[in-house]
Amino acid sequence: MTEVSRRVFLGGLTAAGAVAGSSGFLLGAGSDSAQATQTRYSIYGEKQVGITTPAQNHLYLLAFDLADITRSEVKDLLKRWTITASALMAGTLNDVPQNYEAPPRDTGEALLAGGSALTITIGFGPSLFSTAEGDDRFGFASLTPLELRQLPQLARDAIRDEESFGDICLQICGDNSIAVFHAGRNLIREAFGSATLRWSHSGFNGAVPASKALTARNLFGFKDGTANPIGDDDLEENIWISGSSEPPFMNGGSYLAMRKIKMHLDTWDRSPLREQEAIFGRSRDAGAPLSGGHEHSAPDFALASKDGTPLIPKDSHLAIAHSSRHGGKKMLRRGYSYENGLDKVGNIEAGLIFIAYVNSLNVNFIPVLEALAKSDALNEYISHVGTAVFAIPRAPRDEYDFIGSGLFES
Amino acid sequence: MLKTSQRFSISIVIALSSVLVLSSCAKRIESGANVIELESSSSACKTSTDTISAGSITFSITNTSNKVTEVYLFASDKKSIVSEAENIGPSISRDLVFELSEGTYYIQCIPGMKGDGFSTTLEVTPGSASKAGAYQDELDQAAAYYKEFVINQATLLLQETKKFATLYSSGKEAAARALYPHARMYWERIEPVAESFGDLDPILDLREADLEEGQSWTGWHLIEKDLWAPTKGYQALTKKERTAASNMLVEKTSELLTRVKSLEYKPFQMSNGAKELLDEVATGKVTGEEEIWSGTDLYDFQANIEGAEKVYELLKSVVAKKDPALSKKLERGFANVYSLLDAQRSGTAFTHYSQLSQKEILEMAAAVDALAEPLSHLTSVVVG
Repeated sequence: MTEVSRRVFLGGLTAAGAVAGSSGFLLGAGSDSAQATQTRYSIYGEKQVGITTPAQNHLYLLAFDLADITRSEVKDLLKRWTITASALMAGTLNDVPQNYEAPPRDTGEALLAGGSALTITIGFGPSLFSTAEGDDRFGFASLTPLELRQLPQLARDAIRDEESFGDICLQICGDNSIAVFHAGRNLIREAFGSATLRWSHSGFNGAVPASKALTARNLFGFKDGTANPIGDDDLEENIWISGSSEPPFMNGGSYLAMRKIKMHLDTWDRSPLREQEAIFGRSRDAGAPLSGGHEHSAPDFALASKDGTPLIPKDSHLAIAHSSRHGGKKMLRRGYSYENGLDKVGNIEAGLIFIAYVNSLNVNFIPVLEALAKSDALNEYISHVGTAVFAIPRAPRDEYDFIGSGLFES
Repeated sequence: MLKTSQRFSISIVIALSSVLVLSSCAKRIESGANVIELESSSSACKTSTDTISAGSITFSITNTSNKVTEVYLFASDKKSIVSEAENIGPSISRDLVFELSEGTYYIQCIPGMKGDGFSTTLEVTPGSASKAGAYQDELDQAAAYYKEFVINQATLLLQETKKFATLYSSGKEAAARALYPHARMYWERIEPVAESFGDLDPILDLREADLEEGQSWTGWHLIEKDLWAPTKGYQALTKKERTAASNMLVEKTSELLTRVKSLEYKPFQMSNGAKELLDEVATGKVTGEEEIWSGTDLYDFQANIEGAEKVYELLKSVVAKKDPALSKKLERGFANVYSLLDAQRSGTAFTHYSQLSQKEILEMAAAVDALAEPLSHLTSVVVG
């Protein structure tokens, strides 16, 4: 079980605190499934899990719209979600006496799944604070996080409303697909009557165990996330909000930007490798910048061929998005691939659920998004079809606290 | 639309400097024993073998020097370059595939891209390859004809654009609507060339959906929307705005013609362009996104296919000799797509996109994929 203990260790390093073992499982997890990952994280602490937590293999991203409920009903929902999420992550949802005449508290499909390194991360969309018409629906308007507004409309955006926006999001990640689904399902149950599901995106990312600290690949075959911030200083500087003029519940929080990006696999798969590498600015297999070196070598944008053309083309994804072109500002990418049946002309509807965490949307994220929309060579092969932003509040402190309690302290 | 312009210009810049084909499918297991490992280090140009039999040979190049390197393959006279690979960064590996016939060759590696670098010899023993450069004359001829074709289409485009602009700006809307899809077919046949002018393309062919916040909209699709105006919430262009839009269209199309007159093409640019035309069909026309107001997508579709077919016709004599199976697939593919288009055509008029059934759209998309797949191998066959 060296794999498991290493994961716990990594988790403990980066997350608010990992809880090892299968405490609370009715059946010994070892006898249920030798394969199950036993890593468990706790929802309580200072910062929410699921952000700097090593990326698990599966994603279930849910966005809800709140029903026409009262402020105190919102509070109740957040409390229920916190308790259920905590139980799901700890694996204790089924640990309650079961009335034989009542529907089971736990829907049961994940009883063999072990801890699955489950994380549940909760975020608040702009419309929770005030509607598009400026209506302060729950009395939270004065607490709106400073940069929380929808992303600007960009060239070539093909945004579908039904896959975008939302009042509250739940990002559920784990190493086991049924455990992730199970968590989503039980959290949706918890919301009946208070909130309706607006959209859901399922993602996968399985090629690389999180513990190996390797970069996952997107469906075009290229590595995605090579330039993520690494190390506490980098994370503090780019991802976590601290000591700012943001409302207090954002201290230790972050912002989540989501883009659902459809990737045109059919045309991409017909393009020569030469073109594919020129578009990304990296070699495909090794992930090295075309200026040479290895995956994590710094790109040399000045290095040119004899005729003066840069080896990393100016309109390549790397040249446009690299942090050195954006004042050293970085984002933490935590994307997952998706597959969603067929599109209207019979091709695979597939792509990337792009998720980035930043402490400033205006500084770390939007300028990069705009620069890419303007001139990224990749644009020909992708369409942005979904968009959303959420403010990620600090984690609940302990069992007496709940997510977003800061909204009710004014 | 803007979409392919960057890609076409990249492929021009990069591929002009190298005649070798970089093949993604050239994994060892497929190319059998004909693989040469070539290491360009800071002190040598080293190959895994100095003898190999003629045929399709994969050079698996690794740059172990700390500079950008380039590799040249010279014929026995040590002067004529048979093939070259440039711009390989330090630690980067690249597989290159091409055909070599019997003879003595010299390989030169130049880390730093200056001076003579290092060299080594390669003996190619008798095998199945045709003589290197055997098709060069035919390819050059094809490129010259393609240039004529592009100029011809651009000339007709300008002529029809002027007629269209006059009709539109003088308020003859019905006649302008009738001419619109036909005039645009000249553009669509040479779309990848037209789009290679990154400044002209967005002015002439940008779709409303491609606009960013605050960007002003000009060109064909602005006029399209005005001629097929949505019933709700649309403010028609004023007479003055119409005149301005018409003048811009003519002026920029005229500039396009001037520019294509001085363009030269390489065979790989033609074949890449043909593939891009199919990409255009797959992502814009089959989906009905190109002509959202007029519904004239099938005209563009037809013209894109004709543009790709023209390229194939010009390269056909070479393709038929080098890869007869590919030739057959392409001919079947074109015939299949045309038969579906013919079914939607009466005289020169095509069915409105909105009148197509979902089944017909899916059939067309599948036929486009079936043609685009073999077409994506045209470049490696022509150049390899």
